Amino acid sequence: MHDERPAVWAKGLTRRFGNKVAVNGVDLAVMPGEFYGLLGPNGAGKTTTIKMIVGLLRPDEGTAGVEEFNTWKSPTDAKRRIGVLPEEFNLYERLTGAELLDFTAAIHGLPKAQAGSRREELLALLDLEDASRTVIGDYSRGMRKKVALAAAVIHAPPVLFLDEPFEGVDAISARLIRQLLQRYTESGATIIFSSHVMELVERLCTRIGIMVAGELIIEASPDQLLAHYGAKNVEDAFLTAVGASDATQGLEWLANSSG
Amino acid sequence: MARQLVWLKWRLLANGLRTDRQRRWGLPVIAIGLTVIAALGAQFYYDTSRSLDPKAAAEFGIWLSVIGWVGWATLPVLIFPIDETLDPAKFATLPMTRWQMMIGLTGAAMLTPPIIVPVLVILVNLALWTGLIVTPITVISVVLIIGSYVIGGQAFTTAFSMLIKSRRGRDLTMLFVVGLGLVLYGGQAIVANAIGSLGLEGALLAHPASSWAWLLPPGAAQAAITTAARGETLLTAGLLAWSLLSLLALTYVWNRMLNRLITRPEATSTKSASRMKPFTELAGWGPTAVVIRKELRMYLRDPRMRMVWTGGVIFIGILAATLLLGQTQLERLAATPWLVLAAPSAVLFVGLPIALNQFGWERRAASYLFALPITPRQILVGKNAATTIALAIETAILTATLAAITGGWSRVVYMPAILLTAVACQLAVGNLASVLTPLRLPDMGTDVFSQASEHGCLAIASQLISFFLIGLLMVPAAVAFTLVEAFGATRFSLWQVSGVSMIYGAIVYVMALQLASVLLKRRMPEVLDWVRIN
Repeated sequence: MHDERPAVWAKGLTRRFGNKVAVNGVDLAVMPGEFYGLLGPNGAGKTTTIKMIVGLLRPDEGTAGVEEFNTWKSPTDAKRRIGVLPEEFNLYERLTGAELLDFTAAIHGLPKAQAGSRREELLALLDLEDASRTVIGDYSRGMRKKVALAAAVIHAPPVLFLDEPFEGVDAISARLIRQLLQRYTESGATIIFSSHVMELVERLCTRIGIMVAGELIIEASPDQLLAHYGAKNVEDAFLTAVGASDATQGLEWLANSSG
Repeated sequence: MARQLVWLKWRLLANGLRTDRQRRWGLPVIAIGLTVIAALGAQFYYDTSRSLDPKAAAEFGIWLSVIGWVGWATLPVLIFPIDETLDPAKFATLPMTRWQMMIGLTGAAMLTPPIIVPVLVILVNLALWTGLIVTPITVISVVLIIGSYVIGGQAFTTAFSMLIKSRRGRDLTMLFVVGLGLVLYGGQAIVANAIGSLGLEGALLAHPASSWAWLLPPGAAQAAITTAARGETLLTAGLLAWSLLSLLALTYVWNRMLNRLITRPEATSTKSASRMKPFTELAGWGPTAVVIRKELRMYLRDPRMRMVWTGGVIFIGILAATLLLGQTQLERLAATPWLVLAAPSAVLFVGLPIALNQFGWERRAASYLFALPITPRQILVGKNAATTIALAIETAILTATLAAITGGWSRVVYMPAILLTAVACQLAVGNLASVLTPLRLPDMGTDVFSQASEHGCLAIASQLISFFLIGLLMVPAAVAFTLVEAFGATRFSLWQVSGVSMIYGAIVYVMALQLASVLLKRRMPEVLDWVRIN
């Protein structure tokens, strides 16, 4: 059913920051049409892995790519195939939302008329029409997330990287984004998605990878994951996988916070 | 509680020295340099005061106390990003009263190398003004002066913090900086003219600060020392009381500002910021074209970039005023038509902070740009074209201004060739410097050369070397045009020189662009890492 060639791949990706190994020999193969959830506690190496795959952070060892393009040998070709929603807000603060979308579309080679119509559709869908002429520096956190998502999808890339797409977004917009992403994967696109919202991961992802201390310790479908850990839901499976214990033991004084 | 803020300042200072190698070397160098400069300044203050008529010496002291106060309060905040240990907004959630916070911030503000400057000035005051009654008065006065410095500085920092909470406020601060620059220029010109025509003593007596400076806390405290020396006890007591009262009033204003800063939400605006046509309605729709358009919009909208370019226009205005009205040797230049030829070289100074650090100006958005499928060559050419457009506009203004002043309209025909050659040399070096030594530009503050970041020494070295190289590359073209000017167009054809000059510039630019593109392709993640703002 799937194409033989992975949509996103990584071989032995390793990155150290000083003495700390942030990502340690990660191998990854995400097939076309997969909604792949990359999970892990803070500092597990999810963002570092995504940055190395999209060409923003050089790996110390290993390599990565998108479809047939190696990110580190043919960066422009690889970047033409992807859309990226970064965890941090790295947008042009002094461009308006509409200008950012036009800028991104033009660089991706979209014809001017098509860019204009897609821009209007996306702004309307994400409820950003009123703010389209406002500079991004004046946007709220949720608005920034939405305009960044619009910029990531405006060229309809076959592969989408989303780092915490629901962070800071209200419930209505979250639902819109969820529907947009589901429709997107139905068209055969591949999504790599990192999030701490386990309920969404369980509902959206077709395959889940869990990273701990820079290593990818397990990859499985949500059902396989539940079976493997004997868990009721993905959150329990995740907590078991990362070895989370009841960290509040020994903090009995917190129970007496009134005094 | 207040003690913890002093501890915090000390800890961050010590940790910075321990973990940051550049700071470990840089801070002692700065501290020693400041001490030497402050000692020389104090010596000058002492010697000058002793040599002046007592009345003029008193005025000299008052002028210095007020100028020092304004400089101490404003310059560090305007030149450097706000010291996070002294940014009151950081302590908003701590369970301390505003008065505790103020005491803590005041104490923490003293833990800084520049404190040596007011300390030495105060020691000079104590050495200059001695006597049974005068010495105690001087001690009281210097306490008030130190208090004015520190509390004035903190009040200004708080006001600045309030302003930069919103994007529009940050824009306003840039206008304030440009305005301050103009006021400083105007002030130094007035002072230089006054001293030039009347001598220091005459100027001090003709423009006494004592007539108005007593309204300010340090001015009143300094004036009290001299009135005490003259035996005017009642006036001395009045001045000290007024200094204390005005200092308390300033403290109260600071307290109120702190209250507003802590309790007011971060301001945002949903007003339309763009009256320009949308990207889609403008001509040009390729990666390079949209980069040019994006850059030009940034030039207009980013207050710091705007400051760089408007700085050029202000420079032109000041140059014109100096040539036409100046009291200096420069006024002779008003009769030299060849001065028009210097227009492009002057403008090159203006564009330098942008040309040498093209990715630093992207700040956080660098990672957005680098994640897009655009080649390094397209990025560089787009950025270079935008810089060339801005430089061409500024050169045209400066050329017209200089031609009007000197009557050198015949030289204007040289201008396109000289400009393009000069810009090619600048951008050739600028592209390589931008790729090899990208510099982090802090979000806040007014620094345009990135010298306030931790790259301090690297920034200065890179900029000096780049500046030298640009000058060196421009020598052949400058010599050729000078020969045309010196020997006339009969022996050296202007058009030939213009053509050869532009071909030379194009060769230099294309070679450097090729190299910079290859380097950027290889170094994109490293460039990103260098300019990244956390």
